[in-house]
Amino acid sequence: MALIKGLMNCNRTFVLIPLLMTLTCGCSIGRIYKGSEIRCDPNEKIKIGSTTKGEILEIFGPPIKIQKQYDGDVFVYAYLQKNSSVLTIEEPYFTNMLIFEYTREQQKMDGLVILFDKNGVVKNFGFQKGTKELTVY
Amino acid sequence: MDLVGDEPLTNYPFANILSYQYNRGSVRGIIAILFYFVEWTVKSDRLVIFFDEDEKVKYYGFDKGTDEL
Repeated sequence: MALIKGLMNCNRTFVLIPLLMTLTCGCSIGRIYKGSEIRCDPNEKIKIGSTTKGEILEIFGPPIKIQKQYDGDVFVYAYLQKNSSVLTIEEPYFTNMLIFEYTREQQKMDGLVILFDKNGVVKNFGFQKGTKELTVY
Repeated sequence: MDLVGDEPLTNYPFANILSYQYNRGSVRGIIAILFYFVEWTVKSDRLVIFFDEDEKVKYYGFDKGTDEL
């Protein structure tokens, strides 16, 4: 009886090992960076009611978007970062079957919006540093 | 949001603004049999010039983004 059980276990092993050997596991990592990072911390550099449009251009460079409002302009700055990781397990030889796929994609943006009054002085601003929330893998 | 300049910088009908932009991208990667790593970066050199009523330069902003590539 013990001999029969041993033979059956041996058969399973002979079937499973070649089957597992045909499986392929692949990993891909992608990074996308668009735009320029916001040069300085806006909370330190921008003084509401005193910083001018010229000073903003000098500190942060040209914005990616300028919008006109009825009472002044809006400058928009943005920096985008996208991380992706993919893990796949497939059988590429006989069935070409995808057995398992895990994809993780994160997209975050640093955004700065500055509102000016009609005289070109900063009225208000909003800043969000989203890219620090990105995980490495 | 467009970050590399497919959209115009501004939609002013009679804007006193001139903008110049140069885009450059780079792709770096490692491709092994079972492992891919790809890093795609797009940077731009951008210059925006504002003019006053007399068409003289009022202020300007410049960013040499391609140096970061």
